[in-house]
Amino acid sequence: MEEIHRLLRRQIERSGVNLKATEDGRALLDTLDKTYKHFEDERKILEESAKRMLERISSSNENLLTIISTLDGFNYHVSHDLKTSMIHTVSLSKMIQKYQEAENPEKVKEILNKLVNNSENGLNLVEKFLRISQFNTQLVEQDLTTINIPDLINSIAKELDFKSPYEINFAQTEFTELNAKEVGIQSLFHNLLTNAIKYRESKRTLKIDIRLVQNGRDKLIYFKDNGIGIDLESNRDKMFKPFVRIENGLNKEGTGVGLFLVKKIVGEHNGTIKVNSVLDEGTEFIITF
Amino acid sequence: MSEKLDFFIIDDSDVNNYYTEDLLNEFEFTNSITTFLKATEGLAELTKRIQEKTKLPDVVFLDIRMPEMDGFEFIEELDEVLDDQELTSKIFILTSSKHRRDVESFEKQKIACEFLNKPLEKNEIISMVDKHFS
Repeated sequence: MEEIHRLLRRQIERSGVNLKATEDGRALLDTLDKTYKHFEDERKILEESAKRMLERISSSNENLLTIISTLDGFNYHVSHDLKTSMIHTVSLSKMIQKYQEAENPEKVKEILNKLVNNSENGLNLVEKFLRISQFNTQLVEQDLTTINIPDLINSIAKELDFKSPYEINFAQTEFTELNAKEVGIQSLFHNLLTNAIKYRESKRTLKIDIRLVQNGRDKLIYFKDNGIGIDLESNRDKMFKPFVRIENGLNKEGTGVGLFLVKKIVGEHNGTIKVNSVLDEGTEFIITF
Repeated sequence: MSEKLDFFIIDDSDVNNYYTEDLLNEFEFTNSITTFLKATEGLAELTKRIQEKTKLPDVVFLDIRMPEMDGFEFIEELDEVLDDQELTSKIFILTSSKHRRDVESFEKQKIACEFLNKPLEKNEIISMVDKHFS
Protein backbone atom coordinates (compact mmCIF):
# COMPACT_ATOMS: atom_id res chain seq x y z
CA MET A 1 0.00 0.00 0.00
CA GLU A 2 2.79 2.41 0.96
CA GLU A 3 4.62 1.48 -2.21
CA ILE A 4 1.61 2.36 -4.41
CA HIS A 5 1.25 5.61 -2.50
CA ARG A 6 4.89 6.54 -3.16
CA LEU A 7 4.66 5.64 -6.86
CA LEU A 8 1.51 7.70 -7.30
CA ARG A 9 3.15 10.76 -5.71
CA ARG A 10 6.24 10.33 -7.88
CA GLN A 11 4.06 10.06 -11.02
CA ILE A 12 2.27 13.30 -10.14
CA GLU A 13 5.63 15.05 -9.63
CA ARG A 14 6.94 13.67 -12.97
CA SER A 15 3.84 14.82 -14.86
CA GLY A 16 5.10 18.39 -14.36
CA VAL A 17 2.17 19.51 -12.30
CA ASN A 18 3.52 21.08 -9.16
CA LEU A 19 0.79 20.38 -6.69
CA LYS A 20 2.87 21.78 -3.85
CA ALA A 21 2.75 25.22 -5.44
CA THR A 22 -0.93 25.88 -4.85
CA GLU A 23 -3.12 25.78 -1.77
CA ASP A 24 -5.60 23.40 -3.50
CA GLY A 25 -2.76 21.19 -4.67
CA ARG A 26 -1.32 20.92 -1.17
CA ALA A 27 -4.77 20.09 0.20
CA LEU A 28 -5.16 17.42 -2.48
CA LEU A 29 -1.80 15.88 -1.58
CA ASP A 30 -2.72 16.02 2.07
CA THR A 31 -6.03 14.22 1.39
CA LEU A 32 -4.16 11.69 -0.70
CA ASP A 33 -1.73 11.02 2.16
CA LYS A 34 -4.55 10.76 4.67
CA THR A 35 -6.55 8.40 2.47
CA TYR A 36 -3.59 6.13 2.03
CA LYS A 37 -2.77 6.25 5.71
CA HIS A 38 -6.36 5.27 6.39
CA PHE A 39 -6.08 2.37 3.93
CA GLU A 40 -2.83 1.31 5.54
CA ASP A 41 -4.41 1.33 9.00
CA GLU A 42 -7.37 -0.69 7.75
CA ARG A 43 -5.04 -3.19 6.16
CA LYS A 44 -3.10 -3.61 9.38
CA ILE A 45 -6.28 -4.19 11.37
CA LEU A 46 -7.48 -6.77 8.83
CA GLU A 47 -4.13 -8.50 8.87
CA GLU A 48 -4.11 -8.57 12.65
CA SER A 49 -7.62 -10.00 12.85
CA ALA A 50 -6.84 -12.58 10.16
CA LYS A 51 -3.81 -13.63 12.19
CA ARG A 52 -5.86 -13.85 15.36
CA MET A 53 -8.55 -15.83 13.57
CA LEU A 54 -5.94 -18.25 12.25
CA GLU A 55 -4.50 -18.67 15.73
CA ARG A 56 -7.97 -19.31 17.12
CA ILE A 57 -8.73 -21.84 14.39
CA SER A 58 -5.50 -23.75 14.88
CA SER A 59 -5.92 -23.78 18.65
CA SER A 60 -9.49 -25.06 18.34
CA ASN A 61 -8.22 -27.59 15.84
CA GLU A 62 -5.76 -28.79 18.42
CA ASN A 63 -8.54 -28.92 21.00
CA LEU A 64 -10.67 -30.95 18.62
CA LEU A 65 -7.83 -33.38 18.04
CA THR A 66 -7.43 -33.85 21.79
CA ILE A 67 -11.17 -34.33 22.16
CA ILE A 68 -11.22 -36.87 19.34
CA SER A 69 -8.36 -38.87 20.80
CA THR A 70 -9.96 -38.75 24.25
CA LEU A 71 -13.29 -39.82 22.80
CA ASP A 72 -11.54 -42.57 20.90
CA GLY A 73 -10.05 -43.88 24.13
CA PHE A 74 -13.35 -43.37 25.91
CA ASN A 75 -15.34 -45.22 23.24
CA TYR A 76 -12.79 -48.02 23.09
CA HIS A 77 -13.11 -48.49 26.81
CA VAL A 78 -16.90 -48.21 26.97
CA SER A 79 -17.47 -50.55 24.06
CA HIS A 80 -14.93 -53.02 25.39
CA ASP A 81 -16.48 -53.10 28.85
CA LEU A 82 -20.01 -53.40 27.54
CA LYS A 83 -18.98 -56.09 25.09
CA THR A 84 -17.18 -58.02 27.82
CA SER A 85 -20.29 -57.91 29.94
CA MET A 86 -22.43 -59.16 27.03
CA ILE A 87 -19.93 -61.91 26.21
CA HIS A 88 -20.12 -63.04 29.83
CA THR A 89 -23.89 -63.18 29.51
CA VAL A 90 -23.66 -65.23 26.32
CA SER A 91 -21.03 -67.58 27.82
CA LEU A 92 -23.00 -68.20 30.99
CA SER A 93 -26.27 -68.67 29.09
CA LYS A 94 -24.63 -71.27 26.87
CA MET A 95 -23.41 -73.07 29.95
CA ILE A 96 -26.91 -73.04 31.41
CA GLN A 97 -28.21 -74.56 28.18
CA LYS A 98 -25.58 -77.27 28.32
CA TYR A 99 -26.20 -78.22 31.95
CA GLN A 100 -29.96 -77.92 31.53
CA GLU A 101 -29.73 -80.54 28.76
CA ALA A 102 -27.46 -82.66 30.89
CA GLU A 103 -30.06 -82.37 33.65
CA ASN A 104 -27.67 -81.03 36.24
CA PRO A 105 -29.79 -78.60 38.28
CA GLU A 106 -27.03 -77.99 40.84
CA LYS A 107 -24.69 -76.72 38.16
CA VAL A 108 -27.47 -74.67 36.54
CA LYS A 109 -28.11 -73.01 39.89
CA GLU A 110 -24.43 -72.19 40.31
CA ILE A 111 -24.23 -70.63 36.83
CA LEU A 112 -27.48 -68.70 37.32
CA ASN A 113 -25.99 -67.03 40.39
CA LYS A 114 -23.02 -65.94 38.34
CA LEU A 115 -25.34 -64.71 35.60
CA VAL A 116 -27.29 -62.53 38.04
CA ASN A 117 -24.04 -61.11 39.39
CA ASN A 118 -22.76 -60.43 35.92
CA SER A 119 -25.97 -58.70 34.83
CA GLU A 120 -25.85 -56.45 37.88
CA ASN A 121 -22.26 -55.52 37.08
CA GLY A 122 -23.32 -54.73 33.53
CA LEU A 123 -26.06 -52.47 34.78
CA ASN A 124 -23.64 -50.63 37.10
CA LEU A 125 -21.31 -50.16 34.18
CA VAL A 126 -23.98 -48.60 32.00
CA GLU A 127 -25.02 -46.34 34.87
CA LYS A 128 -21.42 -45.23 35.37
CA PHE A 129 -21.04 -44.31 31.70
CA LEU A 130 -24.36 -42.47 31.73
CA ARG A 131 -23.27 -40.48 34.80
CA ILE A 132 -20.09 -39.39 33.06
CA SER A 133 -21.84 -38.27 29.89
CA GLN A 134 -24.52 -36.51 31.95
CA PHE A 135 -21.82 -34.66 33.86
CA ASN A 136 -20.27 -33.55 30.56
CA THR A 137 -23.52 -31.99 29.37
CA GLN A 138 -24.09 -30.35 32.75
CA LEU A 139 -20.58 -28.90 32.69
CA VAL A 140 -20.87 -27.45 29.20
CA GLU A 141 -24.25 -25.87 29.93
CA GLN A 142 -23.47 -24.26 33.28
CA ASP A 143 -22.89 -20.51 33.61
CA LEU A 144 -19.95 -18.93 35.41
CA THR A 145 -20.38 -17.85 39.01
CA THR A 146 -18.03 -16.41 41.60
CA ILE A 147 -16.66 -19.18 43.75
CA ASN A 148 -14.70 -18.77 46.97
CA ILE A 149 -12.03 -21.46 46.67
CA PRO A 150 -11.01 -21.91 50.33
CA ASP A 151 -14.68 -22.00 51.42
CA LEU A 152 -15.48 -24.56 48.74
CA ILE A 153 -12.52 -26.80 49.60
CA ASN A 154 -13.30 -26.64 53.32
CA SER A 155 -16.94 -27.50 52.75
CA ILE A 156 -16.06 -30.47 50.51
CA ALA A 157 -13.48 -31.68 53.06
CA LYS A 158 -16.13 -31.56 55.80
CA GLU A 159 -18.30 -33.99 53.84
CA LEU A 160 -15.46 -36.43 53.12
CA ASP A 161 -14.46 -39.30 55.33
CA PHE A 162 -10.72 -38.85 55.91
CA LYS A 163 -10.63 -41.87 58.23
CA SER A 164 -7.67 -40.46 60.18
CA PRO A 165 -6.32 -37.01 61.15
CA TYR A 166 -5.43 -34.65 58.34
CA GLU A 167 -4.37 -31.07 57.74
CA ILE A 168 -5.39 -28.72 54.98
CA ASN A 169 -3.32 -25.53 54.87
CA PHE A 170 -3.88 -22.53 52.71
CA ALA A 171 -0.24 -21.52 52.70
CA GLN A 172 -0.72 -18.64 50.32
CA THR A 173 -3.89 -16.84 49.26
CA GLU A 174 -3.16 -14.09 46.76
CA PHE A 175 -6.70 -14.57 45.52
CA THR A 176 -9.68 -16.44 46.93
CA GLU A 177 -12.40 -15.98 44.34
CA LEU A 178 -12.65 -17.61 40.97
CA ASN A 179 -15.18 -16.98 38.25
CA ALA A 180 -15.99 -20.49 37.09
CA LYS A 181 -18.56 -23.24 36.65
CA GLU A 182 -19.49 -24.35 40.13
CA VAL A 183 -20.48 -27.94 39.34
CA GLY A 184 -17.10 -28.37 37.65
CA ILE A 185 -14.91 -26.77 40.31
CA GLN A 186 -16.78 -28.65 43.03
CA SER A 187 -16.09 -31.96 41.23
CA LEU A 188 -12.49 -30.94 40.54
CA PHE A 189 -11.62 -30.43 44.22
CA HIS A 190 -13.74 -33.39 45.25
CA ASN A 191 -11.63 -35.57 42.96
CA LEU A 192 -8.30 -34.07 44.06
CA LEU A 193 -9.23 -34.44 47.74
CA THR A 194 -10.49 -38.02 47.41
CA ASN A 195 -7.33 -38.91 45.49
CA ALA A 196 -5.22 -37.36 48.25
CA ILE A 197 -7.11 -39.44 50.82
CA LYS A 198 -7.01 -42.62 48.76
CA TYR A 199 -3.33 -42.41 47.92
CA ARG A 200 -2.12 -41.14 51.28
CA GLU A 201 1.00 -42.57 52.88
CA SER A 202 -0.44 -44.34 55.92
CA LYS A 203 2.79 -43.85 57.93
CA ARG A 204 2.31 -40.07 58.15
CA THR A 205 -0.47 -37.59 58.78
CA LEU A 206 -2.08 -36.53 55.51
CA LYS A 207 -1.08 -32.95 54.78
CA ILE A 208 -2.55 -30.98 51.92
CA ASP A 209 -0.92 -27.65 51.12
CA ILE A 210 -2.87 -25.31 48.89
CA ARG A 211 -1.46 -22.11 47.46
CA LEU A 212 -3.54 -19.65 45.46
CA VAL A 213 -1.16 -17.50 43.44
CA GLN A 214 -2.08 -14.57 41.22
CA ASN A 215 0.33 -14.23 38.32
CA GLY A 216 -0.72 -11.29 36.14
CA ARG A 217 -4.10 -12.29 34.79
CA ASP A 218 -3.51 -15.98 35.57
CA LYS A 219 -4.83 -17.60 38.71
CA LEU A 220 -2.68 -20.52 39.79
CA ILE A 221 -3.81 -23.19 42.23
CA TYR A 222 -1.07 -25.37 43.73
CA PHE A 223 -2.54 -28.48 45.34
CA LYS A 224 0.09 -30.57 47.07
CA ASP A 225 -0.18 -33.72 49.19
CA ASN A 226 2.34 -35.88 51.04
CA GLY A 227 0.98 -39.20 49.74
CA ILE A 228 2.51 -42.20 48.02
CA GLY A 229 3.23 -40.25 44.83
CA ILE A 230 3.10 -41.28 41.21
CA ASP A 231 5.91 -42.58 39.04
CA LEU A 232 5.63 -39.87 36.41
CA GLU A 233 8.15 -41.43 34.07
CA SER A 234 5.82 -44.28 33.22
CA ASN A 235 2.51 -42.59 33.97
CA ARG A 236 2.73 -38.96 32.86
CA ASP A 237 1.04 -39.63 29.53
CA LYS A 238 -1.65 -41.92 30.76
CA MET A 239 -2.63 -40.47 34.12
CA PHE A 240 -5.25 -38.11 32.68
CA LYS A 241 -6.67 -40.66 30.26
CA PRO A 242 -10.07 -42.17 31.07
CA PHE A 243 -10.22 -45.49 32.93
CA VAL A 244 -6.48 -45.77 33.41
CA ARG A 245 -5.28 -46.80 36.85
CA ILE A 246 -1.84 -45.92 38.13
CA GLU A 247 0.19 -48.97 39.05
CA ASN A 248 1.10 -48.23 42.65
CA GLY A 249 -2.54 -47.41 43.38
CA LEU A 250 -4.08 -50.54 41.89
CA ASN A 251 -4.90 -52.04 45.26
CA LYS A 252 -7.05 -48.97 46.02
CA GLU A 253 -10.64 -48.84 44.89
CA GLY A 254 -11.28 -46.62 41.92
CA THR A 255 -12.76 -46.33 38.47
CA GLY A 256 -9.97 -44.47 36.68
CA VAL A 257 -12.25 -41.57 35.94
CA GLY A 258 -11.21 -38.94 38.53
CA LEU A 259 -8.22 -37.27 36.90
CA PHE A 260 -9.79 -37.58 33.47
CA LEU A 261 -12.69 -35.49 34.77
CA VAL A 262 -10.32 -33.06 36.49
CA LYS A 263 -8.51 -32.41 33.24
CA LYS A 264 -11.80 -32.08 31.39
CA ILE A 265 -13.08 -29.52 33.88
CA VAL A 266 -9.87 -27.50 33.69
CA GLY A 267 -10.03 -27.65 29.89
CA GLU A 268 -13.66 -26.51 29.95
CA HIS A 269 -12.37 -23.34 31.65
CA ASN A 270 -9.54 -22.97 29.11
CA GLY A 271 -7.09 -23.70 31.89
CA THR A 272 -4.11 -26.01 32.12
CA ILE A 273 -3.04 -28.64 34.62
CA LYS A 274 0.46 -29.83 35.40
CA VAL A 275 1.70 -32.40 37.84
CA ASN A 276 4.88 -32.90 39.85
CA SER A 277 5.39 -35.99 41.91
CA VAL A 278 8.03 -37.88 43.82
CA LEU A 279 7.36 -41.48 44.83
CA ASP A 280 6.87 -41.81 48.61
CA GLU A 281 6.95 -38.02 49.04
CA GLY A 282 3.78 -36.74 47.41
CA THR A 283 2.08 -35.22 44.43
CA GLU A 284 1.48 -31.61 43.42
CA PHE A 285 -1.07 -30.47 40.87
CA ILE A 286 -0.69 -26.99 39.41
CA ILE A 287 -3.84 -25.67 37.83
CA THR A 288 -3.85 -22.42 35.92
CA PHE A 289 -7.09 -20.59 35.19
CA MET B 1 -2.85 -87.11 19.18
CA SER B 2 -0.19 -88.86 21.18
CA GLU B 3 -0.23 -86.89 24.40
CA LYS B 4 -2.79 -85.05 26.42
CA LEU B 5 -2.59 -81.26 26.60
CA ASP B 6 -1.88 -78.86 29.45
CA PHE B 7 -3.59 -75.48 29.27
CA PHE B 8 -2.88 -72.11 30.85
CA ILE B 9 -5.58 -69.45 30.80
CA ILE B 10 -4.41 -65.90 31.53
CA ASP B 11 -7.39 -63.59 31.90
CA ASP B 12 -8.53 -61.14 34.58
CA SER B 13 -12.15 -62.15 34.04
CA ASP B 14 -13.14 -65.02 36.29
CA VAL B 15 -16.40 -65.52 34.36
CA ASN B 16 -14.44 -66.10 31.18
CA ASN B 17 -12.06 -68.48 32.95
CA TYR B 18 -15.02 -70.36 34.41
CA TYR B 19 -16.53 -70.74 30.93
CA THR B 20 -13.31 -71.68 29.08
CA GLU B 21 -12.29 -74.13 31.76
CA ASP B 22 -15.70 -75.78 31.61
CA LEU B 23 -15.47 -76.03 27.82
CA LEU B 24 -11.94 -77.48 27.84
CA ASN B 25 -12.99 -80.07 30.40
CA GLU B 26 -15.34 -81.57 27.84
CA PHE B 27 -12.42 -82.84 25.79
CA GLU B 28 -10.60 -86.12 26.17
CA PHE B 29 -7.34 -84.43 25.21
CA THR B 30 -7.39 -82.06 28.15
CA ASN B 31 -4.90 -83.04 30.81
CA SER B 32 -4.77 -79.96 33.05
CA ILE B 33 -6.00 -76.39 33.15
CA THR B 34 -4.30 -73.65 35.18
CA THR B 35 -5.82 -70.19 35.34
CA PHE B 36 -4.10 -66.90 36.18
CA LEU B 37 -6.09 -63.76 36.92
CA LYS B 38 -3.00 -61.58 36.44
CA ALA B 39 -0.63 -61.54 33.47
CA THR B 40 2.30 -61.02 35.86
CA GLU B 41 1.49 -64.27 37.66
CA GLY B 42 1.23 -66.22 34.41
CA LEU B 43 4.49 -64.69 33.25
CA ALA B 44 6.24 -65.60 36.50
CA GLU B 45 5.15 -69.24 36.20
CA LEU B 46 6.21 -69.49 32.54
CA THR B 47 9.54 -67.77 33.27
CA LYS B 48 10.21 -70.19 36.11
CA ARG B 49 9.49 -73.18 33.89
CA ILE B 50 11.59 -71.83 31.01
CA GLN B 51 14.55 -71.22 33.33
CA GLU B 52 14.21 -74.54 35.12
CA LYS B 53 13.55 -76.26 31.80
CA THR B 54 10.49 -78.03 33.19
CA LYS B 55 7.36 -78.89 31.22
CA LEU B 56 5.65 -75.90 29.69
CA PRO B 57 1.91 -75.83 29.01
CA ASP B 58 0.96 -76.86 25.48
CA VAL B 59 -1.48 -74.00 25.03
CA VAL B 60 -1.69 -70.59 26.69
CA PHE B 61 -4.94 -68.69 26.20
CA LEU B 62 -4.03 -65.04 26.65
CA ASP B 63 -6.44 -62.14 27.12
CA ILE B 64 -5.39 -58.69 25.86
CA ARG B 65 -7.02 -56.13 28.11
CA MET B 66 -5.92 -56.69 31.67
CA PRO B 67 -4.94 -54.14 34.32
CA GLU B 68 -1.31 -53.79 35.35
CA MET B 69 0.10 -55.84 32.45
CA ASP B 70 -1.85 -56.39 29.25
CA GLY B 71 -1.53 -59.24 26.79
CA PHE B 72 0.91 -57.52 24.47
CA GLU B 73 3.11 -56.36 27.34
CA PHE B 74 3.09 -59.99 28.49
CA ILE B 75 4.27 -61.08 25.03
CA GLU B 76 7.09 -58.50 25.06
CA GLU B 77 8.27 -59.61 28.48
CA LEU B 78 8.08 -63.26 27.50
CA ASP B 79 10.07 -62.52 24.35
CA GLU B 80 12.85 -61.11 26.55
CA VAL B 81 12.79 -64.11 28.86
CA LEU B 82 13.03 -66.45 25.85
CA ASP B 83 16.02 -64.58 24.42
CA ASP B 84 15.88 -66.38 21.04
CA GLN B 85 15.00 -69.79 22.46
CA GLU B 86 11.99 -71.30 20.76
CA LEU B 87 8.81 -71.40 22.80
CA THR B 88 7.24 -74.85 22.79
CA SER B 89 3.89 -73.54 24.07
CA LYS B 90 1.34 -72.29 21.57
CA ILE B 91 -0.02 -68.93 22.59
CA PHE B 92 -3.57 -68.15 21.51
CA ILE B 93 -4.86 -64.63 22.04
CA LEU B 94 -8.39 -64.90 23.43
CA THR B 95 -10.11 -61.56 23.51
CA SER B 96 -13.46 -59.86 23.13
CA SER B 97 -11.77 -57.22 20.99
CA LYS B 98 -11.98 -57.05 17.22
CA HIS B 99 -10.38 -53.60 17.33
CA ARG B 100 -8.01 -52.73 14.50
CA ARG B 101 -5.40 -51.59 17.02
CA ASP B 102 -5.34 -55.03 18.66
CA VAL B 103 -5.36 -56.98 15.38
CA GLU B 104 -2.41 -54.87 14.17
CA SER B 105 -0.48 -55.45 17.39
CA PHE B 106 -1.14 -59.18 16.99
CA GLU B 107 0.17 -59.15 13.43
CA LYS B 108 3.35 -57.32 14.49
CA GLN B 109 4.40 -59.82 17.13
CA LYS B 110 5.76 -63.32 16.61
CA ILE B 111 5.00 -65.17 19.85
CA ALA B 112 1.24 -65.71 19.70
CA CYS B 113 0.03 -67.77 16.76
CA GLU B 114 -3.74 -67.35 16.83
CA PHE B 115 -6.17 -64.48 17.45
CA LEU B 116 -9.44 -65.87 18.81
CA ASN B 117 -12.57 -64.03 19.87
CA LYS B 118 -14.60 -64.71 22.98
CA PRO B 119 -16.64 -66.68 23.73
CA LEU B 120 -14.56 -69.63 22.65
CA GLU B 121 -16.58 -72.24 20.72
CA LYS B 122 -16.23 -75.99 20.93
CA ASN B 123 -15.51 -76.47 17.22
CA GLU B 124 -12.91 -73.69 17.34
CA ILE B 125 -10.98 -75.56 20.00
CA ILE B 126 -11.17 -78.76 17.97
CA SER B 127 -9.87 -77.13 14.82
CA MET B 128 -7.08 -75.32 16.70
CA VAL B 129 -5.95 -78.53 18.34
CA ASP B 130 -6.08 -80.32 14.96
CA LYS B 131 -4.06 -77.55 13.36
CA HIS B 132 -1.31 -77.34 15.96
CA PHE B 133 -1.09 -80.77 17.59
CA SER B 134 -1.93 -83.49 15.09
